[in-house]
Amino acid sequence: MPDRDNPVANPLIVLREEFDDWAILFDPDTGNAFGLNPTAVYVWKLLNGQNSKDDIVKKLRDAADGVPEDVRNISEISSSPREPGACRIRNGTNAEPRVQIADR
Amino acid sequence: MQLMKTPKSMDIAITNRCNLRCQYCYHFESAEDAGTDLSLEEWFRFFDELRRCAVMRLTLAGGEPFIREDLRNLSTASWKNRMRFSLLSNGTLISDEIAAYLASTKRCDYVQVSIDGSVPITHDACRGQGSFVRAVNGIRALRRHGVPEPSG
Repeated sequence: MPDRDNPVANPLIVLREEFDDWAILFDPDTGNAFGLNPTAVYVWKLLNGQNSKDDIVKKLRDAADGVPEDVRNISEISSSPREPGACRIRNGTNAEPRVQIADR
Repeated sequence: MQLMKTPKSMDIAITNRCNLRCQYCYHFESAEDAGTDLSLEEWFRFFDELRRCAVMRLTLAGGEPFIREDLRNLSTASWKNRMRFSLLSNGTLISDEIAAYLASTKRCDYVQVSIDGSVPITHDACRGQGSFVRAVNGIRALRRHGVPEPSG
């Protein structure tokens, strides 16, 4: 059951997956687009309100090798100055975990 | 070679109709010319499919896109399906009202108005008497409402 404190991707943002497992996040309100690496795409898809931050980190650890102990090393989506509001906690605060956004 | 799964942007002719008959226009003589336009409902279904394909930008052209009485509905459908849009136009049918609407959507990248020369005699020679003044009035309407208009 969705938890109000679980992070949710902004439904207005378009996730456009490409052939190489990278993806583009497109904000139609601003026209801005950002590249997501495959790890970020994996995390983005878990931002559905069904997963807590801890759930996401656990699933990421199960799916990938070499995930750092300090999840802050995975950088950020929610508070990235390039993409404010891409992801939110349902009660309105910015969400973690943070995943790396890389320009392509 | 690897290809994109779906297009990032699309150019679509939303109408076969045009209010001008420019001398050099291929539109009414092309073998690909369609006799009728898709209905609004058919376009809605198409735009929904584009959303599922994660298309990011649409260019609405024609014919003359502003000749469609339901252009507002079409542009609304494009932004409701998470796309930005632009329009290619002869400019002659752009009213203050529709320019205000386009500005209000905040999803219109630009309206490109075709101008053939810097004076009416040049432009009107191919596009018809009075079309230059009407196109310039259309551009002014766009500017009044802050809609980008890279004329060419």
